[in-house]
Amino acid sequence: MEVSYWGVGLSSLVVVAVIAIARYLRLGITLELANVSVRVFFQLLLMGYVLTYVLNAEHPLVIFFILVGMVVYGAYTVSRRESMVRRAFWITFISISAGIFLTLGIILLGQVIELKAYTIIPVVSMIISNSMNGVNVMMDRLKGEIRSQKQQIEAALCLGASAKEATEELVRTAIRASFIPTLNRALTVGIVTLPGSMSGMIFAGINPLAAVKYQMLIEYVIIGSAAISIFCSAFLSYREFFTKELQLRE
Amino acid sequence: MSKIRLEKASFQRKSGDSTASIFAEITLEIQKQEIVCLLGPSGSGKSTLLRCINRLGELSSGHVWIDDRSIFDLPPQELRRRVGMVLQTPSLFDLTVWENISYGLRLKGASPADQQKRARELIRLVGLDEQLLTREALSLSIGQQQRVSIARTLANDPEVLLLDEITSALDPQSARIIEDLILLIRDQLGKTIILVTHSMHTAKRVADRIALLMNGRLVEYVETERFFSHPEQEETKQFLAAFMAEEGAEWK
Ligand SMILES: Nc1ncnc2c1ncn2[C@@H]1O[C@H](COP(=O)(O)OP(=O)(O)O)[C@@H](O)[C@H]1O
Ligand SMILES: [Mg+2]
Repeated sequence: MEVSYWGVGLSSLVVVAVIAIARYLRLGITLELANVSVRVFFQLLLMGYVLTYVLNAEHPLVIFFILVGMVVYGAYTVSRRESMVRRAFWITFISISAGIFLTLGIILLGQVIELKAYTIIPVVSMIISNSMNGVNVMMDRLKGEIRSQKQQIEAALCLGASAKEATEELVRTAIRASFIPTLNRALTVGIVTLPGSMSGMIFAGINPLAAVKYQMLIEYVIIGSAAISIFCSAFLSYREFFTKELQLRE
Repeated sequence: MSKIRLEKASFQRKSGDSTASIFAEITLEIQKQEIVCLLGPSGSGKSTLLRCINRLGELSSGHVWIDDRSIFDLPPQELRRRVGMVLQTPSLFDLTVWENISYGLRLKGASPADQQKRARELIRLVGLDEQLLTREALSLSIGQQQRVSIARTLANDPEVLLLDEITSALDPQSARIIEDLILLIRDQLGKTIILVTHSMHTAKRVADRIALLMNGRLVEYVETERFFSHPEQEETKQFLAAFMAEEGAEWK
């Protein structure tokens, strides 16, 4: 069964209602919601066309450039959310890339899935959004912790601590917080939540057990890559709050 | 050779494209084992100046020398171990008293036995009971916390101590205890101390010399006795007169 554009239009009414409510409650996110809804439409449309053309691309370079494009766009989106951390774009870009390319490397080496656009791109798209969320929470939380614990950090610096020593505890807190979405997801998968990709496959008529196996792989990879991205961004971002003379930036 | 020398120290704060001068061209020398009090109205730049001496802040221009060595020639971590600083609010870590006091020693990799021994010495020095060592630091009274904070700073055995309004969050009685402690630290441990305060009482009780800072300028820098009896500058006289008008009755 194929969804018609009429069906898509009908479901978009939900978003219109949400926008109306947001406006009524003056949440200040009306524009962002509208923007997001329009983007969902065009971004997916674009991906549909891209996939149609490159689905059977096997040349690793073509796939590589598509992946880089996805990571850049993801990193750009996360780093724009606030001017969160200095060099946020680069930190996000490196962290997401590290998560994806490492886990993807393992899958490909183990020859679990083929190096073809139609297998790699959907897998990466799922990993990427979890990595993005992890990095986003990580940076946001770290910034908040450092702001609220400025006094303790300066006290530690006064006692001869390095940037790492002065923020160790806060970084740990931020890492823990950024694992929560991924952990919650993993805890409920299959029971509360049916992952989008799996629903999609089942919709498309694939045997649920086959879809499940595929999904297990994806879940493990998601945890792995989110973790790598979180660690990586933690490692890269705490130092951005300090000058090279170990002064807290304002 | 003076212990601390400031030479034309200036600090500008940039916000957007405007810069504000917080203090400018401050030159002064402090002798070994002296207690110098930085006095001045709120917002006159006292804290900022103090923070530039252990490089929590960075001078825009000018120099600071400790024992004739430029602070800019020392790695910041080493500088801060030699020039300890206690902040206005105790800012203890959410750990036990013992862990707070031995924090600096742990960073330097001291053995647990040394840490224990030093923590016991220090808690006694600041006049607290050894039994407090195992307490959660944040469960102590503010006055006790401030003493732990001093002990924590002394654990690094710094040559110079920078104390920023460390009595201003305290009741008069706790403040007096801390003032006595400051004198003891100088007399017994031979530290050189710069103390920021806006309390004339504190200044008069502990300082050898007083530096008056107003609007980021060093107005007067003389011996304590002279500061109160024969100030040279017109601004100092006005500053003292304003204070007397407000609090003169209690002032002895
Ligand atoms: N983080 C900051 N951001 C902007 N201005 C500041 C900051 N800290 C201090 N100032 C300004 O610098 C000046 C000096 O402050 P400070 O050194 O704290 O004075 P004092 O310790 O003598 O009260 C004040 O005008 C204050 O408003
Ligand atoms: Mg101050």
